[in-house]
Amino acid sequence: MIGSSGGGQQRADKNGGRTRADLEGDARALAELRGLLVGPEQERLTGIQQRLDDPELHARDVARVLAEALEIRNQESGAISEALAPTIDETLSVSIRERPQEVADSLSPVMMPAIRKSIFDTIKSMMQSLNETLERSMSLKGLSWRWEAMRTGKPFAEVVLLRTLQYRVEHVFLIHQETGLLLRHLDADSAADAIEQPQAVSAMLTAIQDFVRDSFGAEDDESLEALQVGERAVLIERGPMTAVAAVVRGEPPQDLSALLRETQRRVRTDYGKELAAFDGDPAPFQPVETILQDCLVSAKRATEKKPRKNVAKSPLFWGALIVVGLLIAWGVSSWLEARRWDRFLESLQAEPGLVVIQSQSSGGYQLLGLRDPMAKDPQELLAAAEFEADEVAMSWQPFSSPHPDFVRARIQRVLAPPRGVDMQLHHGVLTIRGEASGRWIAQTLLLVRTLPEVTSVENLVVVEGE
Amino acid sequence: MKEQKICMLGAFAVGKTSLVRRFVEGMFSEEYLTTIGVKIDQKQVSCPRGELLMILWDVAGEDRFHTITDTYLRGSAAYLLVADGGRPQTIEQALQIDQRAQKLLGGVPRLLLLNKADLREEWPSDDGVALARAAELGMLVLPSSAKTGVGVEEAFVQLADQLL
Repeated sequence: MIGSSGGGQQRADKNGGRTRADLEGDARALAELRGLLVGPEQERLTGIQQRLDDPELHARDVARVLAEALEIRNQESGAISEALAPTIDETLSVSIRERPQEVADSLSPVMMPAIRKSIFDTIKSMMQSLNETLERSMSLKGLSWRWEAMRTGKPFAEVVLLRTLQYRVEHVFLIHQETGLLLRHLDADSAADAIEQPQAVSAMLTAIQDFVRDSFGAEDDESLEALQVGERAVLIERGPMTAVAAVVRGEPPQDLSALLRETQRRVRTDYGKELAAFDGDPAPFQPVETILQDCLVSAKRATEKKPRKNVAKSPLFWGALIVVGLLIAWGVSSWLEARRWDRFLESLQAEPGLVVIQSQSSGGYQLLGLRDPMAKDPQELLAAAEFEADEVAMSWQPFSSPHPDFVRARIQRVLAPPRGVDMQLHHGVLTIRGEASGRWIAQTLLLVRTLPEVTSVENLVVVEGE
Repeated sequence: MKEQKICMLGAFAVGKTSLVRRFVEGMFSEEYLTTIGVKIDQKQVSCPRGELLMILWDVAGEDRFHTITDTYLRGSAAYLLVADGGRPQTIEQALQIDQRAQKLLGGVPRLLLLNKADLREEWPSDDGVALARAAELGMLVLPSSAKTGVGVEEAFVQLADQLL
């Protein structure tokens, strides 16, 4: 501002008697002084400003500390994960959409074993349950269980479970000791009944423990370890910060408590930090499932051989065996009988000149048929099929069989050709060759009309002696 | 979702159990109150700051034979004090319980409900001193009626909101 206007110069002249050149010299000196005093800082500041303004330089600066910054922030809180989650979600979606093959290739080493295991487990459990179902529905034991289920109104599956299982852990609760809040609850896939409000149950278990401890003036380290409710037992293993409770159906073995203690220890070791920071949010305890899973154990009853012996000794068993034996014998004899009748009918059908019109085997054998007088006697066939003569009521009506053998035989019998005469029937035309008496020829021409199979005669016979 | 233990505290027959019954449909029988002295219910509450699963410990009422055991209070994130607006001595008892609870739990949020507000017209006018003391202690006092449902949901929601 100094010396920038005429007014200023006049004021300077009046006040100090200094010339414009003096003032300019001052300004130069001042600038020089400033350069000497704050020059290096000024340069650094300009450099910093440049780095902030230049996006490329700025990016380089951030990149240098990015990993460390993320690490520090992560240690402080999980805010980074939350902030990045939407971006990562979107990036993943874009990757999957645009490069599905690459994504699949990267994931397959991780996914394939898991998928294989899952399929294998599913098939194995299907096979096992199919086997068990077959075994249970076919056996005497299975029938008696079904009867028990009907009698008691319990579902069949529950009865089977009760009779085949020694014990099974159906539910596991991981409870925050001080508040009674539920950290995690897990139930067996085939648990007979679901627990509707596991959180309230968790609190109630804690309250009952508190009540028992208060009522009996127990020390802090003493606590209720087991409850028995009908066929279920609740085992509770208390630690300093958490309690593990297992609902067991059947008779829990001694080592189950040890297993719960071990679970308790593992949770304490792996989740100590989360437990200390617990503020009512059970989300950090989601992965504890893998530890609790090991508590969902069960054991089947050893198969007892004794009842089988008893079954073999019982009169019911022998009675049933005799009935089954008789049924089998009756079945076999019926089948053989039916076979004998079928064989007889087949032999009749195969025989020329015999035609079965109607036959029945129930309520005594009966048969209605047609028989050419020249056909074989059905009684012979009856004997051949090992039937007694009076065993089958047969009724045969006479008829002329169109079978070529019978037709030829009938022509021979009716026309009785003398030696030296040959007769051939072809498509209803009877051709007669040879030498015969004039009388026979005349007779033949008359008789041939009685034969329905003959439509015309070709007479090539030479009259004897002519 | 976050879970918190919340105790229902107060003198005998002030209507704690009825208030809980108004608020939730419980799975445990009320016989637990007479047998082990506590009954537990759960209720999911939506409030301005989010959702909270309240695990309500309905602790049997205090009378001259029975004092609330500290064991049941342990681990509470908040509590609801209940008094019968028609019986000023129950407000006094609620304040005594509050003193013990604050000592044990160390300044957790709480509310004082003056229950049976449906009979408000019959309430005596000598409850002013006790209420003034409640206000002095920084306690929010709300009227409620388990019978008509007035103030019940609001009280629980307000408490839940302080816990999120």
